[in-house]
Amino acid sequence: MPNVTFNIDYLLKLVGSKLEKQKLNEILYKLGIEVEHEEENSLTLEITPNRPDLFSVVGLARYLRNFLHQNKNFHYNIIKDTKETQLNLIINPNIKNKLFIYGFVAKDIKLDDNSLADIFNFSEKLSDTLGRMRKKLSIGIHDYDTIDKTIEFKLSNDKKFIHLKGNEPELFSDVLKNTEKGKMYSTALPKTNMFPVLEDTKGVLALIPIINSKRTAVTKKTTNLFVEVTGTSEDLVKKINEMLAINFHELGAKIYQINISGNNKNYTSLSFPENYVTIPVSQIGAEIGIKLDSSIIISLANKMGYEAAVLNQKIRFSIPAYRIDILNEQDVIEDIAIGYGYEYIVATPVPSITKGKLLDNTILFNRISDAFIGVGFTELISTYLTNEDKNFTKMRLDIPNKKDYILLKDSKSSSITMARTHILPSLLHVLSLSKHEKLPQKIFELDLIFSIDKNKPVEDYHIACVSTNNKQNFNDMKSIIYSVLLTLRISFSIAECKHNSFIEGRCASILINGKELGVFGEVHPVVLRNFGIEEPTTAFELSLSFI
Amino acid sequence: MHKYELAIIKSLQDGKSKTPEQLMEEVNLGKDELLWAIENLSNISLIELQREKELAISFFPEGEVYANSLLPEDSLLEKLKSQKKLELKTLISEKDRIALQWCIKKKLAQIKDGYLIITPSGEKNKVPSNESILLNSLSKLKVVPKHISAEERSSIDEFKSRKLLEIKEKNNILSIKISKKGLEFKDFSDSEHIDELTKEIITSKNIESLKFKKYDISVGVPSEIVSMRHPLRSLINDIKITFSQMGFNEISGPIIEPSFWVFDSLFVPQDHPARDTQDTFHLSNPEFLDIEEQEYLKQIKKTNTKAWKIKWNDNDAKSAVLRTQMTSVSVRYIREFIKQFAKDKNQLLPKKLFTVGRVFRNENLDYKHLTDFYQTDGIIIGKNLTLSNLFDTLITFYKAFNVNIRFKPAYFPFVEPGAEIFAQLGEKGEWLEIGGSGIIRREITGIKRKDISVLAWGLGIERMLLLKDKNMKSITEYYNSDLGWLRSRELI
Repeated sequence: MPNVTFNIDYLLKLVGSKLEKQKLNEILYKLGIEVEHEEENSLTLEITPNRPDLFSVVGLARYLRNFLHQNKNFHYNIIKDTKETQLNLIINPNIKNKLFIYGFVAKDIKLDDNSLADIFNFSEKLSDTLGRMRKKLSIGIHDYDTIDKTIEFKLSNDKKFIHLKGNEPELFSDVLKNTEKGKMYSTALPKTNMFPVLEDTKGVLALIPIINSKRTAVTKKTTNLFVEVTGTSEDLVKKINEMLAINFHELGAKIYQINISGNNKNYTSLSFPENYVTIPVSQIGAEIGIKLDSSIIISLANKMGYEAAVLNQKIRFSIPAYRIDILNEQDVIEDIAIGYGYEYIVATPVPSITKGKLLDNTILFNRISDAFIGVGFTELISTYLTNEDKNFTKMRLDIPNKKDYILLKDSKSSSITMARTHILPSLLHVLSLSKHEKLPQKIFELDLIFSIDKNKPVEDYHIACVSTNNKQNFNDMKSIIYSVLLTLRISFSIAECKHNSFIEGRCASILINGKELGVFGEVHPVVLRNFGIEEPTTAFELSLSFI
Repeated sequence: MHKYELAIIKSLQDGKSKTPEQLMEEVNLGKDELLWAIENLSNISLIELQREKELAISFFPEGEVYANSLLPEDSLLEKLKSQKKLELKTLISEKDRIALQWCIKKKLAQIKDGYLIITPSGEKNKVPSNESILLNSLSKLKVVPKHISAEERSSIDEFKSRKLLEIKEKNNILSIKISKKGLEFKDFSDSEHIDELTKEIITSKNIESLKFKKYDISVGVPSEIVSMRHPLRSLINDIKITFSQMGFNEISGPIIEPSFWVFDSLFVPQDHPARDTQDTFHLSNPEFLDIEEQEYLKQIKKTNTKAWKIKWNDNDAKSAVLRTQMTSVSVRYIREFIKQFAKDKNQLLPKKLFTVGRVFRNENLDYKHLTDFYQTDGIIIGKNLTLSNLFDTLITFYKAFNVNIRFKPAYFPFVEPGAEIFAQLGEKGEWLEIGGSGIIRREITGIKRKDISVLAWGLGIERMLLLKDKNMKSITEYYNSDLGWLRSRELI
């Protein structure tokens, strides 16, 4: 979840009210925003990824302002006439609808340290999270007054420009290799020798999605801005462009849309389409489980930033352009519930009574475990994940073909490469950790093991136990197995068998319904040595697949 | 007096000092029985013991490896000595990282411009170092020698803190000798007082008048081993019973799933970082799994592509993973239910279901992080269900465990409204996040609310353990337990 750090003074200045720190924290909790870290002047908040509008101080302040004052101003004054800026953005056909661009001009803005930092942090956060490290989306902000008014968006050959942090002209390919941003985001570019750029007659404005030019750099003194959003999804690019325009509008700028043409299309950049969700009045309270009439709902909607109106027993919510997370009425109802306050929703039982039931396996497996506990075994729970050395080699077993067991990809831990194919190694491992414990040591585990049958994964329950003591032989384990299995009314027979983990002639296979499902006997001393066990040990493992 | 004790006193009557081994042979006793009897006799001052303290060393697997070869920093130093510098990028294995850390700590090497460079003191140090030699000899001795230098002492302390070995104090008995009081002890056959009760005595006549020898009830006794369930299993059983008492049916489902059931059907976008191998275990065998539900696949593909503005990739949906939450089990059941519901609208409602099982994260294993742990998930499928019904169900469940909870708005892609559940540690303790819940999105069910809605939640079981087991240091001890830890558990 994205963590965003906010300057408290700047936030409260934008909210426009003096909030005690504790009160602020309380409101944030009500809104579902968790405080990750607190300092004298700043708050680091966990913002959920569905609310990218709250990655900025401006957006968070708007949210809090609405919540506290029920702000009824939901309209933005956008200058629609594109002649006003005379800025033309032309998309070269070589972009081929693989990348999309939107933008706008913000004039007469007064920037200071706080607002400038917020603008940059906001665009970085958006392009890192929502933009998937700029693969899907990136944002550029330029000094409008340094730009020649016709800008082309195109794929260019490798050529030189002075980037934001540079002093000398450098090739795009060198910028990718040598700059911090280049190294971080070069994977967002397709692997070709063509580079997406914005260019006017004076040269390159930006190497997209990596870095802007030094020429168009924005400082505190800049008053007019050109903002562009590029990315692989037109819908997302368009919406983020609108979200940014609203933010700059709230910072006091005049917002101008611009004309964009190319790829047989000609469009303006800020359409703000009306977007409504309409829900029956009765449904809203019914879904939350409280009684709400339409006047309360409208007031709650305003509090949560929606303009809302009653239409024939229904409420029409108009979705703010900066809310990209609203998919259907459930999202709006959640906001109404948050506005109402989760803490005031009275818990009411599900109205009808049902009869509960455990799985047969749960009951049966508990019986089997009880039987083992009854003969002195302690239960163990261990990880399902292991490696070939522990699962096979230490057990004196050959490592099978890789097709025959569940193999993990890119495990972070070198000791984990596969899912276990039997339980005994887990038990022997615990004995190896328990050398100083009192004898006898008797442990068992009843849980899953994994295999592959005809390319399909198989998850099977096994029961396994080990017993270690200074004197211990085949017959000790045989007597345990016979007593326990007979108590559980499992009919079985045993047969001589060869198993590399056991001493030859001192182990037996267990047959149930003619199928070889288990084995028990004296663990081979080489296996014991491999696990660092110094006392004689007997072991048993049985598949419960017959149940 | 017990017959073992009598036998020992008798054998010591010659006044000679004997080792436990000699005594074991003479009186034909096992070691445990002998030590028990000796302890008793010494308590009543019939014998004198000469003891010796010994510091026994036991090696952890990591320490054992180093003892048989070299400490990792020595191996790295050896490499550095021949190559002078090493590129940091090449030092990625777990062992290399440990070695790197110690080389720097011991000032044998330093990092500069992405390289590890040997320092002058590293040049001077010989390989194998004194520490490696010491570790190796300790592994043979198995005890800390009586006379060691201060330097060796601090090396051993360092081995301990590195968890290469542990040291336990053992109080060995060197020899046993009869005491003055013991020499005067003549009561070998007290014919008047009965010592051990036997079948012959019980079945003989006149048992009313029998006299019994008095036992010293303060005598120390060996402890019995109590075999028991794993504490985590006990909690899981309590959870299962609680849900079934609340009218829930238990369900289960596969651990190995195509990503479709773990992510796509739960509305997690295909380009979401949580799906990366960084966080989720993908399999290299089998690499892909088929999705049987073609129709549902189409529905989910459509809604996800639209909502997340992504290009759908069939292989991303098929990629086999170890499930990362139990909701994959719930959503499979929801799908089954919806298919039946489409055929027959008169299903008995509500359906209340729960599941408990293991989920997986690709983590670096350490004392705080695990790759597998337990979660419990539940759903209620029914008509006119509300957020307040969801809250009530969870409050009722946690009440069974004496846990107070509250709800905070939260975001999970597959529910809306969504709520996080917080539990209070103790009466006035801090609030701890223990799970997530909400009403399943209709994009997932594909059914209108007037027909059906689905309440859902997923709860961490380890967090519940923390609420119960106040001494819990880290959840890893529940999975990587040795027998000593298991045997010291209290039944809860």
